[in-house]
Amino acid sequence: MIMIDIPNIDANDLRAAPNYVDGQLSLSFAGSADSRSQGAIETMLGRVHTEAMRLGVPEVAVDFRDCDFVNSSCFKAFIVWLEQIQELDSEQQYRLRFFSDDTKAWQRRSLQALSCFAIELVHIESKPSRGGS
Amino acid sequence: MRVPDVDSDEALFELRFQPTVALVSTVRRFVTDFYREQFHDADVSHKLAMATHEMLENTVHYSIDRRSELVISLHRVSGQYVVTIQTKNRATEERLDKVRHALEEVVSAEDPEALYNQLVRRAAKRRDGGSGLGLGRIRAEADLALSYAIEGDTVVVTAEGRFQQRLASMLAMDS
Repeated sequence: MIMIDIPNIDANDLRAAPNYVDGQLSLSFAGSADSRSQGAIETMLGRVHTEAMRLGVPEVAVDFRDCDFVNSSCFKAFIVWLEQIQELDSEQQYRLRFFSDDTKAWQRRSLQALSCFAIELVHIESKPSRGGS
Repeated sequence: MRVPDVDSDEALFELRFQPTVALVSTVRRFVTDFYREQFHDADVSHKLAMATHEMLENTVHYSIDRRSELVISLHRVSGQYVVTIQTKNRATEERLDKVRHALEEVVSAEDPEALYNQLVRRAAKRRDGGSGLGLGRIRAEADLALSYAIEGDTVVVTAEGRFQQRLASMLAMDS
């Protein structure tokens, strides 16, 4: 069994957890991300980047569906992550697949800016909410 | 000049406080409910709450005396709601210069989405802890116009937009 070294986040209204199953690395976010969570998100995404390169995964999935709010400081952490991926040699680069809740239009709207920043690396997929509501 | 069909203030919310980042989130949750009650539209509520949050966070980071004022007003004009969100705080001269520069760029942008994409590229290179995204995000994602005034050492930032209240028949279809 391959272990991953990525911290969870469970503080200040935000929960985030990594998962690595069958060769697929994923993150799920729930709650609200404001400036109090910026440092924790930066640390987490830095670890995800390191682990994604170590594991050689072609893609990391990021599930935003249970997110209610993400402020601009926390979005910046994702922009910096994308820039780190862009700076890798092309054979080391991996893609990010974001899952947005199709009932929360803001998620797709906000994620679109990430897609414009790194169109070749970002894929956004709308899915039904996990609560089924 | 034609006088617009102004009914009156439909709602007014004023807050003067010493905000922390935690309190800003508390206010965001409150105003989310406030906007939802007015518009019955989760997406409009989120746009306005996001704008309120970003504007208030700016006052937390840059207020010289940790004090901030927030005023939210709704007027009904010709069948639509005009929403105005205004923050006010004092700042140092150095900060006022930076704020003026940042606001001028966002206020004068002809294409808010293009500017926001440019701010995103700039944010990727910033290493000073700030993102520089909040104001641009308000214009690009919240459908709000921005304006500002600097009076002495006080900066007043105003976001304004028009939104339609969802009709009762549409609400019934949702339920």
